[in-house]
Amino acid sequence: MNFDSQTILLFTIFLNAFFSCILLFLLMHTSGAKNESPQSVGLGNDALYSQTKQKSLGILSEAIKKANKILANAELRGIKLFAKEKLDSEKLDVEYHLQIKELEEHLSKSFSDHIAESEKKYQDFLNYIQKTLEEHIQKDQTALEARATTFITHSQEVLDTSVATIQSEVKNQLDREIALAKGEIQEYKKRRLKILDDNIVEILEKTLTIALGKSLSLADQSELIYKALEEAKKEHALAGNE
Amino acid sequence: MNEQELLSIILQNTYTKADYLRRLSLLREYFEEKFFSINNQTMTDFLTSQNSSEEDLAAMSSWNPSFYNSFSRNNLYHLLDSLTKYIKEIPIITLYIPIDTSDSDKYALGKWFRTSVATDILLDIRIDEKKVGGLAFIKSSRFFDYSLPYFISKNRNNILKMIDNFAYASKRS
Repeated sequence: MNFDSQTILLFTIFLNAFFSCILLFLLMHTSGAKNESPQSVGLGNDALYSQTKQKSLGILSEAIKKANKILANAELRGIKLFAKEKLDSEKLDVEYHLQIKELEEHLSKSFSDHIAESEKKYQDFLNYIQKTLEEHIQKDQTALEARATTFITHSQEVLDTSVATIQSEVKNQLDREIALAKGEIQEYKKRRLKILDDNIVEILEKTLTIALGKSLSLADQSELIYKALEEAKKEHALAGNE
Repeated sequence: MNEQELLSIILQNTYTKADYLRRLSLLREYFEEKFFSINNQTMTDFLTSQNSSEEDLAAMSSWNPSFYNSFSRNNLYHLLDSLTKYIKEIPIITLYIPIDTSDSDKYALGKWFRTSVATDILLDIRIDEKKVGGLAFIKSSRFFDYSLPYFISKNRNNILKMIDNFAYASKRS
């Protein structure tokens, strides 16, 4: 059983105090006996009392000396023990530190080895994953390119067809609209020209009537009257008397 | 002179119905003054006093004396009535002209009709501004329009062709 130095020191102090208490108790007990003696025993007993007291004090002194000796021994042993314990403890501490250091070194080395191994495995794993992924990507890319090419080609064909169809429909629609518009324009033109042809003379007449009626001089009007009469005569409108 | 001879003399320089009726009226007034009043002036003086036109004065003054001597107090109204009735027998052409011409122009028109159509014809001249560019007339109850519409209608094709040419030229330019 190992005790540290502080525990031993405390134990020694405790023993010292314990024996001191016993000693004090004995002293007080003997003092009380002396006080009762004159009353109960008488003056004859004073010598005995003194002897006894001397013996008791001797015993007590001897006991105190022994106690002190024991105490000193105990303290010495305690100190020795303490010193030994201390020495053991320091040795143990050194060993402990050495072992801890060895353990640390061992653990560090082991840990480093494990880390290196793990890193290597991890790197291998990464390389494997990368290689696998690259293979997959390459494979997928090839497949994707093939599908994309097919899709684009198909889309292009569909788009070309749609555009051609739409162009054709738009062209047809535009042709129809243009033909319709041309037809309507021609019809409108014909209608307007017919109206114009039908009414051109009337328009001209009214225009000239309005214009000439106010601008022709009397001489011009007279000349036109004679011209009209010559025309009437030429057409025999004035011929014959009825 | 009989009524026909009198009529012939009047019509020598009377070309319109209005002139004819007005001159008969002047003759009536003149002879009434001559036969039924103390005033015994010459026709020229009478027309001057009536402020008659130069045409009336020239025309009626030109009628020879035997014309005036044919009238007497007894046959005046008979002759005048007969001459008035002749108006219904004389060929009358109603003219519609666009301008109000002078009397000299009307005389010129009358002369033209006398030389070109008939010697015993009378004109009934009326103003119609719509007959611009010529004239219209009624002869023997038939209406003839020789104003601008007639000439345009007559030249319709030429006019349309001209318009077409113009439109074509405009389109090209």
